[in-house]
Amino acid sequence: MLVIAARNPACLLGGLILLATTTVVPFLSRQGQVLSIGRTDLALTPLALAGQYPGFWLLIGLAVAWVALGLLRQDRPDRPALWGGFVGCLLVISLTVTAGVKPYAFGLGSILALAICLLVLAYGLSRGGYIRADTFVAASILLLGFFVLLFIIYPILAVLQHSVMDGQGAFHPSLFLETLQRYKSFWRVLRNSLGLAVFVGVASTLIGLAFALAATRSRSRLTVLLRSFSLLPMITPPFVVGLAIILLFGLQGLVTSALLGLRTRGIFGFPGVALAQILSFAPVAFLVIASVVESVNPALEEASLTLRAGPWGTFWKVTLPLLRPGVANAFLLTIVESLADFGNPIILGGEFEVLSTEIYFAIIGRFDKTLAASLGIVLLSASLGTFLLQQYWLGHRSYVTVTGKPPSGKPMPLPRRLEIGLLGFCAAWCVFTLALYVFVIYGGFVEIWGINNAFTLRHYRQLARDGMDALNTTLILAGVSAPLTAVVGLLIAYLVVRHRFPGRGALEFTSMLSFAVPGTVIGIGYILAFNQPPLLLTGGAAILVISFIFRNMPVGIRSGVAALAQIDRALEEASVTLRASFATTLRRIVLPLIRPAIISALVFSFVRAVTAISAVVFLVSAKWQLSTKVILDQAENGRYGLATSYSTVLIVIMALAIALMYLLVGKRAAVGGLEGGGLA
Amino acid sequence: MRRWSCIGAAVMVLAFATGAAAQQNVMVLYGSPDRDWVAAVAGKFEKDTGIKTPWIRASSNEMYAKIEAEKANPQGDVWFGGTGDPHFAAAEAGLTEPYCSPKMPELREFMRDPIGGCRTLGLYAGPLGWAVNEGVLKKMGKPMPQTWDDLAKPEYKGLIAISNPTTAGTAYTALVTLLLLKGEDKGWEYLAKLHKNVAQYTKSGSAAGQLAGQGEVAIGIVFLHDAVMFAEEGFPVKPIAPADGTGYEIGGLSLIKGAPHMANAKKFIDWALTPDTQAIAKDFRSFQLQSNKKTPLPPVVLKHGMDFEHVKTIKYDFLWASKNRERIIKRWSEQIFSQAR
Repeated sequence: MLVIAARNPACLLGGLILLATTTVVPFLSRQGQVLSIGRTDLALTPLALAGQYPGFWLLIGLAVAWVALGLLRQDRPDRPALWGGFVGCLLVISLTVTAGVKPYAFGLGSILALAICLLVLAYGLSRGGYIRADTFVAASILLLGFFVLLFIIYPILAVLQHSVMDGQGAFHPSLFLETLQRYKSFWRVLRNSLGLAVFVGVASTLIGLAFALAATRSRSRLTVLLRSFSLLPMITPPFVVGLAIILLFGLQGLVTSALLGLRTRGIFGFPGVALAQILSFAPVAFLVIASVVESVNPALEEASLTLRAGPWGTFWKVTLPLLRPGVANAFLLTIVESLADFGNPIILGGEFEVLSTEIYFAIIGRFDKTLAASLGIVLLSASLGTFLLQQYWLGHRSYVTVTGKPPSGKPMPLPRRLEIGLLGFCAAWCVFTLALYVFVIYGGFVEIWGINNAFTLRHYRQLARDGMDALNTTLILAGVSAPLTAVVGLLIAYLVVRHRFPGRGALEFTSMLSFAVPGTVIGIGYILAFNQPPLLLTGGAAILVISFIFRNMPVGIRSGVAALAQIDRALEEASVTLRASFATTLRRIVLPLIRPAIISALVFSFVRAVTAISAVVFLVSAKWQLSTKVILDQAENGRYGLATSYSTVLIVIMALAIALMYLLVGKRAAVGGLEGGGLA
Repeated sequence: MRRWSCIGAAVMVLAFATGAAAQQNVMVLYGSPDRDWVAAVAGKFEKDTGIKTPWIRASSNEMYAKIEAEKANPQGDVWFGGTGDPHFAAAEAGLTEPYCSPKMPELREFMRDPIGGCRTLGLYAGPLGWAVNEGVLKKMGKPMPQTWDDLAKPEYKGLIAISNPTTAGTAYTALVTLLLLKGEDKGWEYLAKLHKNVAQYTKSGSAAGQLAGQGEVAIGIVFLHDAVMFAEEGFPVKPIAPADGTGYEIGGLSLIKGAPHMANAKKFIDWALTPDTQAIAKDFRSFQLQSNKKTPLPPVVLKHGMDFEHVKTIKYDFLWASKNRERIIKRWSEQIFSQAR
């Protein structure tokens, strides 16, 4: 009742909740005890802390002031919300930092208090007209901005600061250049990295495009198969593709030695790495491009045909240009992935050094953080350059094709010759992929891969005995992080595409950063940033989930951005004009339209979480073991049988999980043939 | 106001007092040898003492980086196994703490206190050697190499695999071995010649043996207990010890500085040095010589003749190796590794 009578409901509500929070909810907790409320031995409320840190009285005072202001009449109700929210946020952060000393770290209270202050601040920004959107949007912007700062920028800086910091912690800006000058192979490594990334980016995008067109526009029955096979390399744990390639194309390889009679180690180096990367990244390109192909409105193509353009002309002049956002986003993603990829070059690279492996060697081998950080900056700059290039190419053209007018007719089929060519190419690629996988699965059932081919089930027996814990943990963590990743990624995509606010470009760009940094750097960064109070996260599952979310969300963002760029804003405006709330608009209009993007975000983040390795090596804690780590450990000791049988199990589980996701999310997508049951 | 602060203070005191008591009976194990072995050791310790033992496995260089990054708030208690060099480096960097276990007199002398001051204890030792794939050699018509000098002969070009010393302790042991065996100047000349023959540098130490097992190369430079392991796993490799002498590794056992469960950590170290505990290593295809005098050598090592009695070893200076690590690796990367082959 009080709330209704209030003059400034946001302040009143915020003040009351904040007051309740400060008196009841523990502001600080011991490590891993964030949820223990009422246990004074494990956690401290602000009231209990105010004796030692008087600053807490300010926070309580702010809550009281808000309650009072909430009841008073005022001309500009956004002012107290704006300033109070701003001061409140700073206060909560600074109090957490000052009071959060060992053994106490942040608690539920500090999270809640910050959330309340952010919400009130968002209300102030929105009502005051600083952000032209409602409170929900403003709050999302603030919250995501805060997360990006905390979980992407801060850990990366924690590592990269070493490029300008000497051993004593003194600041030396020139250290960066000196380090790179000292490092003799710099130019060669940079050339290798960039050359590889561009090659892999072009090849993967082309293959992804071919698959996307063939799978969505062909009348052939093959398309279902295409979809499932194209995803296979993605759901493969690291190392396995590399190993299969060695066994097929190495010195004793089945293809090189037995079929062609060659004795060559040529696969090690650029060819092997490029092949493995294309195998792993083409599916990413496929996912991104396919979601765009599906949402192209056939009416445009029909119009072109009606205007007497031939099928080829329509394809070149209408269809392909409309796919530009998808192609550009896929290209950006694959280049960035190739730059940051570590698993393939380390196995197949031989002496072909790239930035990501050199960074790893600098940290792990030479314990030289300065060199690692300096190379990290170079790597980030390369990814940044790609991003800017992509922005330039896409420019400010409109790619809107979904306007709300009913799509007339079916999507245009491909020109006949193109279709045959694409199908032929895709089928060949699938056969190749399949050969690799038959090899992998076979490896789990023989004594020693390639040496002793007697049939055995012992690997699976050992797996059933020793590997189940890690498997469960992996699936739980991936299952938790996948929907969160999709939500965060798509929300950022939505905000970036649909709203104008200060820092929009910065948000879009920084959210790509964690993707562009090799996992090793992120892993070390997370430990440096989150291993001490007040931000104590190491040792638990939370840090793994958080690292998954912020590392894998770029695919959600990229496919979300690509899909939203095609949907006319008028659709949402119509909904809002008809007095639908923002949430209703999102639920009834936007989400159904970007369903393919949701699927690709979900699938990708789940798969990436299951197969992640390089960042995870540093973040796994004793309680949370992960499958990929087990696979790598066993493969390192030559137990391929165990490694491949474990991989096979993971592949099967991921395939099932993906099929399930399509079923749950992709009802409408059945029209586009997206689910197709092909993954079963 | 006064009253509130009094209550606040009381709560604080209570919190701290009970906080110490709330610490659980736990010992966090950071292990670097074979995964299955680490898991078994943790399980056995839990069974023997009732202390809960969560564990993590990472290669010794990765573990070093993890402990380094965590040093502001250590999460692990004991670092168990893995090549000695990173253990020694960690001791030099002050990441681990000296602990003179009462079990030390029971240890073989050369493993008792490898760098002095109880800064790390020897858990096991194993000599360096080769895993040789005779089939590949025969097919190429090459003789079996006998000495380190043989390996540098042009006829073995493209037939040798070794790990990269920037990531693997095995390869660093090889560098130091050859520098000690031949003296610094001759040693670097030799390494340059050896480099010309290397087909592939691998990330992990034992992977070189694996490549020999797969027939990708003829000779993998690895620790002999790894060569024995690959042979026992069924790979067609034969462990060979260089006739002109070789170096060896000592696996470390270190107490992490600021270990959250210090008392249990010390208990674990004492326990890990008993013959009863060490004897289980061989069940996980870890065929090193364990440090306790009473732990028997696995019979398969004797079968292959790869024990310290039969392998000619040199006097390996661990302190020198760890003090010069940075310099040697830098020189190797810049002057040897960057050369074309």
